[in-house]
Amino acid sequence: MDENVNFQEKAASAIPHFSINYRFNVNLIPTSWSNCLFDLSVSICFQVFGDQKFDVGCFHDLNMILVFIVMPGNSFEMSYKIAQIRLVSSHPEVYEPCDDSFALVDALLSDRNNLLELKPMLCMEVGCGSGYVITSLMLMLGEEANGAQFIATDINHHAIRVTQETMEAHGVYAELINTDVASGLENRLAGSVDLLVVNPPYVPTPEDEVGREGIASAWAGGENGRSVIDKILPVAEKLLSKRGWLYMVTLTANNPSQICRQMMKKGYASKIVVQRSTVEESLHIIKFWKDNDIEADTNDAITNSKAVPLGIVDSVRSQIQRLSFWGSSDINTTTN
Amino acid sequence: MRLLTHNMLSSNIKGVTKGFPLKIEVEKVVEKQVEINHDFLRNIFPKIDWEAFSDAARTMGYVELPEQAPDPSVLESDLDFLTKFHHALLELHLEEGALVCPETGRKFPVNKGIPNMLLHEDEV
Repeated sequence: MDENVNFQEKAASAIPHFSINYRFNVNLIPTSWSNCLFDLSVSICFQVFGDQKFDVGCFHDLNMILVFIVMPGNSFEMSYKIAQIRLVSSHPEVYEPCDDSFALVDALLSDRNNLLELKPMLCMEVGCGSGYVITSLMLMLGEEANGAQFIATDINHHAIRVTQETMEAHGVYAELINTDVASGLENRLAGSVDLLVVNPPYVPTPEDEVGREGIASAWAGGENGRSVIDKILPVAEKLLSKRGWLYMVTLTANNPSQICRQMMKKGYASKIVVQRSTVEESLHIIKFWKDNDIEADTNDAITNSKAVPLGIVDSVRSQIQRLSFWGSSDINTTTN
Repeated sequence: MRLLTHNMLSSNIKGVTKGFPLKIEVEKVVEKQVEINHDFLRNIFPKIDWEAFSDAARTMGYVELPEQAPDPSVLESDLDFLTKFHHALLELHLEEGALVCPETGRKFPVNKGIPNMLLHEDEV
C-alpha cells in the first residue's frame, strides 16, 4: 500500500477534495476489492494538448466517475455518470464487469467529447455481457447523444437478460439481439454503425474451447486469443459507417500491433486510447477509424507508415515512468 | 424489439438469398413512449426500407403510415408525419412473437422483446 499512500498524498496536494473522495470510495468498496482498488478505481494520466501539459485523473467510485484535470495554478473537475456496480445485474453464466470492462469505459470516457462531436446516430456493442459498458456509454453521452440509438448483441442468452436488467435499473434502453457477433444484422446495417464497441473473448485458450455455451463464450479466445477477434474484425469493417469508430479491448498476447497493421491494410488508422497493466494481464483499448489518407492495400507490403501504434505505446510507457505515483494503471489520451 | 431493428434484420440462414424483410408473427405488442428527435428521424429515414417498415407497422396494428415511401421533404415540414414515423419506428415493440424467414419459413422467436437470431448447426 506504500505506493497508494504516496499516490494519495501527491494527488491530495494536487487535487482539491481528492482525499475526501478517496476515503468515500474506500468505505464503499467491498473488502475483497480493496487490494485491487487502485487497479480498478484510480488512474491518473498525463495528457498533452499541443504545448500545454495537463494531468488528468479518472476516479471511479460505485456511483460516479470523477475526472480531474489539473493545470498549473488552476484546477477544475467534471463528473460523468456511468453504470453503477450495485445496479449491474448478474448471473452465474455471465461475465461480471472487471478490469477490461473498466478500461473500456475509461477509454470511452476519455474520448467522450470527441464522441459527442462525432454525433453518432447508431451505436452498437458486440458481446454486451453484463451490460456494464453499453449502459455506461448511454449514461455518459446522456441527453447530448441527441437521439442516438443503441443496439447490443450477445451470443449468450443469459447475458442478454442480464444486460436488459442492468439497463432497466439505470433507466436506459438499447435494442438487444441474441445472436453470434452481428449475424442477421450484417446486410441491412452495413455501413451504418457510427460507434462500435467490442470487449471480445481475448484469453488464449485451446481452440476447442471457443464457441462453448455460457460464460466460456465471454473469454475463450482460442490460439493467441485471436479466434473470435479475427472473426469480429471483418464484421466490424462491414458495419462501420465511413465516419465510424471502433473501440476494442485487446491483450498483449493478442498481438495488438499486428491487429492494427491488419486494419491499416483495410484503410483504418488506429491508436491505443488506454493501456493498463494489471497483475494478470496487460490490456490495450484500441480505437480504429477510417482514414482517407491510408490507402486500403491488398498486398502484404505496408506502404503507409502513418499510424504506428506501438510507437504510441512506447511513448506512453516513457511518460508513465516519469510519474512516480502512477501505480500500475494509466490512461493515455490524445486528441485527434 | 422495435421496428427500427426489424428493418435492420434479415434471415442469416446459409444459402438464403432473399432473407429480407422478415415476416412478423405477433403475439403481443407493447408501446413505450420515448422523446421524439427530429434529427435522428431525418438521418435514419434514407436507411429505412419503407415498404418493409409500413408493412411491419400494419402487422403490429398501426395503420397510419403511407404504404409508399413519402417524399423526404415531409421530414422538414410535416410534424404530423414525423410523429407517426417516430411512433412506429421507436415506440412500438414486438414483445412476444416471431420473425419468419421469407424464403424458408424458419421462425426466429421473439421473447420478452428480444429476437433470437442464433442458428442451428446445419443452418450456419
